[in-house]
Amino acid sequence: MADEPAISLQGLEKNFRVSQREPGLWPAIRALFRREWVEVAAVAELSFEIQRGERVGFLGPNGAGKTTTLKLLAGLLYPSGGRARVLGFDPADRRPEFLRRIALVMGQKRQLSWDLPSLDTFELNRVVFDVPRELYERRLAEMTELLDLGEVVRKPVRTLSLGERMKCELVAALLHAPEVLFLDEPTIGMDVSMQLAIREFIREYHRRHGATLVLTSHYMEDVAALCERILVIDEGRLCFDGSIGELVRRIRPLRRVAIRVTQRLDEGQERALEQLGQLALVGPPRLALDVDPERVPEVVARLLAVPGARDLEVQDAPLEEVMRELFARRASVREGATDTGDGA
Amino acid sequence: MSAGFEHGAARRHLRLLGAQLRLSTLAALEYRVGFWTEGVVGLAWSLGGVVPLVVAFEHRSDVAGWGPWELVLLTGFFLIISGVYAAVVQPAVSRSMTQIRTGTLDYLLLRPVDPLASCLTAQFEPWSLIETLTGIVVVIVATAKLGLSPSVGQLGALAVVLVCGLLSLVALGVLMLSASFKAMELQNLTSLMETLLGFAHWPVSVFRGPLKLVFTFVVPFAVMTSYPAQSLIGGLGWAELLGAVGTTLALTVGARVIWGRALRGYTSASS
Amino acid sequence: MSGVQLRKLGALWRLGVAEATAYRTSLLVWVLATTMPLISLVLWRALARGGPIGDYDQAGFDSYFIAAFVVRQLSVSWVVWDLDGQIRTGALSALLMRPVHPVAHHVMINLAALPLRTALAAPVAIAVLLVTGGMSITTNPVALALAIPALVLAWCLNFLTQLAIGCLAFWLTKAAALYDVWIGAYVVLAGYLVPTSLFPAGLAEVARVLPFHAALGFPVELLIGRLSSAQALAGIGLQLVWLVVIGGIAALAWRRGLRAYGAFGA
Repeated sequence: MADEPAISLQGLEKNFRVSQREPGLWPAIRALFRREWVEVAAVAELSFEIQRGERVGFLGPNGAGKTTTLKLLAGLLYPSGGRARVLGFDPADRRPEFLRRIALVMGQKRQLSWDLPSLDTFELNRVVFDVPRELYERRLAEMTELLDLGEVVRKPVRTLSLGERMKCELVAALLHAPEVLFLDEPTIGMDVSMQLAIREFIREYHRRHGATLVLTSHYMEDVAALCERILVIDEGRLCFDGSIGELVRRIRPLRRVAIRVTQRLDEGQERALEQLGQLALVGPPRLALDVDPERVPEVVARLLAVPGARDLEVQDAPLEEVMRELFARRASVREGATDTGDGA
Repeated sequence: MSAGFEHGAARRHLRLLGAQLRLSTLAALEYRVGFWTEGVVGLAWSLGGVVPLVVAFEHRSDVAGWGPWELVLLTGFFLIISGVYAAVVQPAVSRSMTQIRTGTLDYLLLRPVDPLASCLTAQFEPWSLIETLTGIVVVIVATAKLGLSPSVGQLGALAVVLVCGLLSLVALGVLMLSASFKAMELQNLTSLMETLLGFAHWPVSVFRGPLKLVFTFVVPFAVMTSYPAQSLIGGLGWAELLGAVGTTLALTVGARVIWGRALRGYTSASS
Repeated sequence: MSGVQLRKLGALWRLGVAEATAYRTSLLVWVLATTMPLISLVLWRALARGGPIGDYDQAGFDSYFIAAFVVRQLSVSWVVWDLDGQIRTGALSALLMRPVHPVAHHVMINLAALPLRTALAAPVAIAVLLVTGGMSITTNPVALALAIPALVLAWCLNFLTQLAIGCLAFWLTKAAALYDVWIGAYVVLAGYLVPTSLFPAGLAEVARVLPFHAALGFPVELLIGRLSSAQALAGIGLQLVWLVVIGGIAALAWRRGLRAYGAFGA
C-alpha cells in the first residue's frame, strides 16, 4: 500500500450544463418557453499521479479547471467520467475515513462562524473530526504559536482582518492533521508579508507531517516557493508536468546572461555579441544576452572580457513573464481554433 | 450517497448535534433582540392565526364536528409543530440554502459525517421554542378542561402520530432543500411552506375533495395537528394511525432518495 | 416628464421584464404562496354548507376569496427584500450613482413583473372560476369606476409600507424580518383569511380602519359589490389618508437613512 500514489487520476472528466441566451427583451421571453443549454467541459480527460509527500502546484488561466479538479479530488463534485483515487478511496463516495484524512482550504470561502470567536468553530471541528482532546489542545497550541495568533482566536470572526481570518481558517482545516491538503488560492487578496507568513506556515506543516500538498494560486511566488512540481492545466487538460525550471526552459529555452557595465559597447563589439545570442539589454547599467544553454560558458567568458564588467549573472526568465507568455500563446492558439470554427 | 456506517458513527452524529446546538445557541445569545423578533413575534403570529377560528365560532356552535375546547387542544398541537418548524426546520433549511448559494456548503460536505445530518443541524433558533412550550401548556390545559383521561393506548397512539408529524415536517424541509439544488430560485419555497402551515390550524375534516387528500398524504397537516388531538379525544382509528405511519415512511424515504440525487448534481458555486 | 426621463423609465421597465423572466420559477412559487385565499375559499365554503355565515353564503365566499386572490396578485411588491439586500451589501451605492432616483428604479422593476405575474396567476384564477361557477362583480357603476383607483392605491400602500420598512435596514441588520411582523398582522387583519366584516363586534370596527384593510379588504369588497357608493368614497378617502401617513414615514426614513448610509461611507 505504501507504494500506491497518494492521488491518481485516469481520464477524469467533469461537464457542467449552463443555460445561455442573448441579452434583451425578446430573447428573455423566448427563453420562457425554450431554454438553450450548453455542455461545458470544465475538466476533460485529466490523468496524472501524485506521490505521497509531494508538493504540487496547479497553474493555469482563470477558468482552466484547476479549482474544479481540486473539488473533484476532495469529493465535492461528482465526476462525469473517468476515475480518481485519493489515498485509495474514490473521493465521490465521501467516506468518513477518507474525509478525516484530507482537508480543503479555499481562500474565497470561509467555514468559520461569522459572529463567534474562531475557537468555537475549532471546538465544533474537534467533535466532528473526532480529534482526541489532548491531541487537539497540542495541535491548537502549536499552530497558534506558529501563526502568531495569540488572542485573535478569541475574537468574533467578523472583527478579524482578512489575513487573520485566513490564518484561523487554516487552523480550522488542519486540526485533524490531514495527510492530503488541498489549497485553493490560499493567499488571495493578501499583502506580501501575510502571503509570506502563510506560505511559511504551509511549508512548516508539510515538513512536520510529511503531508501531500496540492495548491492552486494566482501568485507565482506561492507556487515557486512551495511546489517542487508544476502541473499546467488549460481548458481542463494537462499541458505540462514537471519542475519549475523545466517549465521555464520549455517556454523560454534561452537563458539570460547579464553583467553590469559602466559604458556602452561600441558597434563592433555589439555585433560580435549578436553572433552568440540575442541582445536583450544594452546597458549601462546592464548588458544582457539571451543565449542557448550550450553556449553559456562561451558567452560568460566573452562577457567577462568586456572592460569594467561586474556582477555576472546567469538566470532563467522571471516566472511571471514565463506564465504570461505561456497563457498568451495558448490564448492565441484558442482564437485560431475559433476562427476555423466560424469559417466552417 | 452512502453514509458509510461504521463503529461509533451514531455517537459521533449525536456529538455533532450537541456541538451544533451549542454553537447556534451561542450565536442566538449574541443577538438578544431575537427573543422579541423570533420568540414573541412567532407566538403572536400563530395566535393571530386563531382569529378565523374565533370568527367561525361566532356563527357556529361547532366546526366540522369539533367543539371550541377541542379546537383549543388542536391549536396546542399546532403551536408545538409550528414552534419546531420555526426553531429547527426553517433555520436549518434556510441556512443550508444560503450555503448552497454561496458555495460554503463545500465545508459541510468535507466533514466526515452524513451531509444531511450536517445540513439539518446547520442552524437552530432556540427562541422559537417559546411557541412550542406554550403549545405544550395549551395542550395540558385543554385536556384538563375537556376532562379527558387518556388511556395508555391513546397516549401510545399520540406518541406515534406526534413522531410521524415531526418526521414528515423534517422530510418536507429536506425536499425543499433538495429542490434548491436544482434552481436557486426555489429558495422561497420556505415561505410557501410557512403560508401552507397556516392551514394546519384547522381540523382536516373541514377540507373536502382533493385538498383533503393533499393535507392528509402529501403535506400531511392532518398527521401533525388533527390526529394528535383526535388521539386524546378518542376519535383516532386504526386506519388513520396506519395511514399516518405509511405517509411518513413514504415521505421520509422519498426525501432521503431525492436528497442523495440532488447532492450528486451539486456544482459548488465559486464566488 | 421629459422624453429623456421616459426613455430611462422604459429601459428600467425592460430590465424589470427581463429579470422577472429570469426568475420566473420564483415568481411562480410566489404566486403559489399567495394562493392562500383559494384555500380559505374551500374552507369557508365548507363551513357555510349548512347556511350562511353572517351575510356570506357559499357563493358570497367564492366571490370574496377569488377577488382577494386577484387583488393580492395585482398589489404585491417585494422592494423590502431588494432594498434590505442592497443596503446591507452596499449595492445601493451603484444605484445612487445613476441619474435615476433609486425609488423610481424600484417602482419600475416591481411594476414590470406584473404582466408576467398576471399571466402565471390567470390560469389558476380561471380554473377556480370554472370550478366554483363564477363570481359576482358589482353592478354599481360608481363602485366599478372607483375599483381601478382603489387597486392602484392598494398597490401604492403595499409599496410604500415595504419601502418604509426596507429603509430600516439603514440602521438595523434584520429589517426584512420586521416585515414578517407586518405581514403577520396583514394576514389576520386585512381580510386575507376571513372577511373583516365577520369579525366579532368591536374587533371588526378597529380592523376596518387600519391600513391592512385599506390595502386588501376594501378593494375586494368594492369589487364584489358589497359597498354602497358612499362607503366606496369613504374607503378611497381612508386609503388616501394612509397613503399620506405611510408615504410621509417612508420619505422621512429614506432621507434620514441616506444620510446615515453616507455617514459610514458605504
